[in-house]
Amino acid sequence: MIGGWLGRWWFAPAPPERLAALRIAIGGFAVIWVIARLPEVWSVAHLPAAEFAPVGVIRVLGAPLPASIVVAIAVATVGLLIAFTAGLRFRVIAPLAAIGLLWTLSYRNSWGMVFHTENLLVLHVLALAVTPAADAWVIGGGAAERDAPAAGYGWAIKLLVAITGAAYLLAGVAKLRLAGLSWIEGAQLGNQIAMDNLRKVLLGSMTAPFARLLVAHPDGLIVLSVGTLGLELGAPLALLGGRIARMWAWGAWGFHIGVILAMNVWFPYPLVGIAFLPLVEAEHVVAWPVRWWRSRRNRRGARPVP
Amino acid sequence: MTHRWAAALVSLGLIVAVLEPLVRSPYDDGFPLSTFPMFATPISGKVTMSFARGVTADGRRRALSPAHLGTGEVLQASSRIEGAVDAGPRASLALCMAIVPRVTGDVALLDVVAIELVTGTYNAVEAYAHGAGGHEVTRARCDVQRSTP
Repeated sequence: MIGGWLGRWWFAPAPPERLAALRIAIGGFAVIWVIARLPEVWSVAHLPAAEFAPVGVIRVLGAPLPASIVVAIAVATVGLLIAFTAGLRFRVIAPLAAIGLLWTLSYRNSWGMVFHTENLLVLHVLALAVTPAADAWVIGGGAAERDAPAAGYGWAIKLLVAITGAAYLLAGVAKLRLAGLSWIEGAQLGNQIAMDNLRKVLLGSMTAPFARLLVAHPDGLIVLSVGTLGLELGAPLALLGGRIARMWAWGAWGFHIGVILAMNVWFPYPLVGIAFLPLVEAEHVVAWPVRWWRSRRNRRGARPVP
Repeated sequence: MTHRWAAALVSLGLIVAVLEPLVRSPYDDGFPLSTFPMFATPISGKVTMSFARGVTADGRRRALSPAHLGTGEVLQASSRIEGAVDAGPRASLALCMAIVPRVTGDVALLDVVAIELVTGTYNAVEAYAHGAGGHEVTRARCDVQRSTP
């Protein structure tokens, strides 16, 4: 992997600002996400112990933790993630923040229902935590003076892309393993949409705007099924970068919009585009709001005094 | 993390870990290493699902929200009810009783006099798209007691 064309491709250079931008965007999203999930973390921490079904790292526990400890860990995780995003003492804080996020969200998923909206976020933060993502754009502390790592920064960005691609690939492979090629015939998707929305009706939740239309006119479901499976199985193409990666990212984003319209199931991490940022020149995307803010401030400062 | 071999090792380790669910049963889901079975599990048109509902004095049915089950997530609410129904009548009644205080405190459900935990079997497409009924069994029922002013 290290030598030859594969090594040259994997370790192709990238600016430290690109990886730093990903740290800021992904870390910032994680901060907002954990804060937004605090009420739910509080709720599950009060569920009866009989409903505790630990997954992942939470399997080390034989019984639920006291609610106060669960919430304290979640709040500490928010603090660590803020430092992670800023890039402060990254080599020490980043792994702690990643472990805190893994623990908090795993605990939240340990009550009989594993959600699939948070996997990619956790995996990206875990990956970033072991990369030199704070060699530029350290907020409030100034980047430490050090030589660029011999491995560069490009490999870390490719790793994030590979994880994104793997997650979507797994979703596609699951469909083939569980339903086979019959999944693309549309009937399965129709049943899924009907069942999901029926559950929402019975449980007093909001249904999807296009669900009834799709279920009543199943012909279009074949196109959606083929498109979904093609997109998921084609996810590794994102590693090729460039136009192909951008096209795949737009397709995946459109797929998530479709999931909202058909099932009212929201995947905020890809929906706001941050899951796909490793596929583009992230430093320009992240720097844009900063540049806009600075130019706005400069314009105000340049205004003549009356 | 300065050497290429270390970066390569980390990269390989993480990619292999993320792909590890491929060698697991697709039903053996986990977090964050998931087999992503959502929307993949084959289902026939006939589905069985349990839910909670309110009942008024004149027998009308009122939908309860996930918040009445102590969660903001519809799937978590569904999981709670399915778990209680699977665990038997005692667990079903306990969950029913746990819902009562949340309904009592909801001004939008002042006309609800009882809570029911129900298991229904439906043709999902017919029930959702055309409002067709299904076969429903009440698993637990508990009264909503309100103090008179």
